[in-house]
Amino acid sequence: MNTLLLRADNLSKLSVKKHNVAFAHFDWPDSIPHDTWWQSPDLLTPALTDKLQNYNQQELMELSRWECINSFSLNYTGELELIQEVSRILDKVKLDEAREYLFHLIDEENQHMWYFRKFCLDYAGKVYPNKKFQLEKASLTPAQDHFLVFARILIFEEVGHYFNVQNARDDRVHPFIREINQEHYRDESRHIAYGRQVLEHLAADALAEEGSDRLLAAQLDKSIAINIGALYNPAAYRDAGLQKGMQIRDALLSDPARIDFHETKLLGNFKRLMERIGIPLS
Amino acid sequence: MDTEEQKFSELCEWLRLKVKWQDSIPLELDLIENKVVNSLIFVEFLMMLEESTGLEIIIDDTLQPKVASLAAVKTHFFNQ
Ligand SMILES: [Fe+2]
Ligand SMILES: [Fe+2]
Repeated sequence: MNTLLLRADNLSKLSVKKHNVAFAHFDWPDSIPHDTWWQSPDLLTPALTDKLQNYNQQELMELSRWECINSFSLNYTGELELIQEVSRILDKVKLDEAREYLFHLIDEENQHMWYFRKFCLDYAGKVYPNKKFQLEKASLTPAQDHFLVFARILIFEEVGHYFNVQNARDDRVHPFIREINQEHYRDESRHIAYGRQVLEHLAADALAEEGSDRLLAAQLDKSIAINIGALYNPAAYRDAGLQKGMQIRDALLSDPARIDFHETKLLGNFKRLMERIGIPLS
Repeated sequence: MDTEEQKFSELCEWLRLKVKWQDSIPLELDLIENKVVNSLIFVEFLMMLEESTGLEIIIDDTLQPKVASLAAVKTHFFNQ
């Protein structure tokens, strides 16, 4: 068995063993108070910038509430897209026996979708709609297409993972929200381990044609910008009672401290992997 | 309160600056077909449209014709 198969096989076994079924796992509280941290204050979008001092603690807690709903909505809409994309290529992608794990991936993401959506609707009465959108359709070989599916999933999962870890670890965050982050974190560590192996395995075919590296890099740079941009949701700022959401978003997205945070904490692992594979991201 | 007309011209002006056009963007010009906007700017344009109208915009198959040009946006999202 090659390393990909071995890893995927072990991960499948772990999924089977852990199969706790989220539908019955959580004890859902009747409500979650507004005056608590719904997300670690270190993860708020104004964190690390001098704009943070524009807000008092009460405003920041309210912002944490809506940014929690935003990141859970992104999980929901992202996982929905993930299931659609993985299903689309399920019996075409060249994975041999490592394909087996995709059934666990879809099964687990389906459970995540269920609890993230339920959380948003039960405690905030809404899910923010998907704002990720690709107008330009590049023409791709099947190998490039399959590689991009898994690379986009990994971008999405690495970003979400950082949020899960920080929220699970931060004892200022409401215990139920910490528990959801912790539970998601456990499944996602397996998905990320699998995704990294799969990308290394698919890279050779995806890069076979002249110029593939730059083509894939351009596609992934766009996906990165979309994923990062989605964290700064003007509707969440407005729901938190802050006026001119678009201005807040623009100012934060271009703040050097935030750019540094994206590059190191959220995208560092992904960018190092792409560099090793030979895809020159900007 | 800004009138609908004012809000609509602010949106047009926001887009003009964003895509760095010298003159105003013709109302009937197809923004997507003529590559006035890329995916990223298009998403921000929708966010701006939400902020200016207070509506929630869902991206689905019915959206494209409603936002294809500034004239279409005006018809569908601003009362005249
Ligand atoms: Fe997930
Ligand atoms: Fe996942």
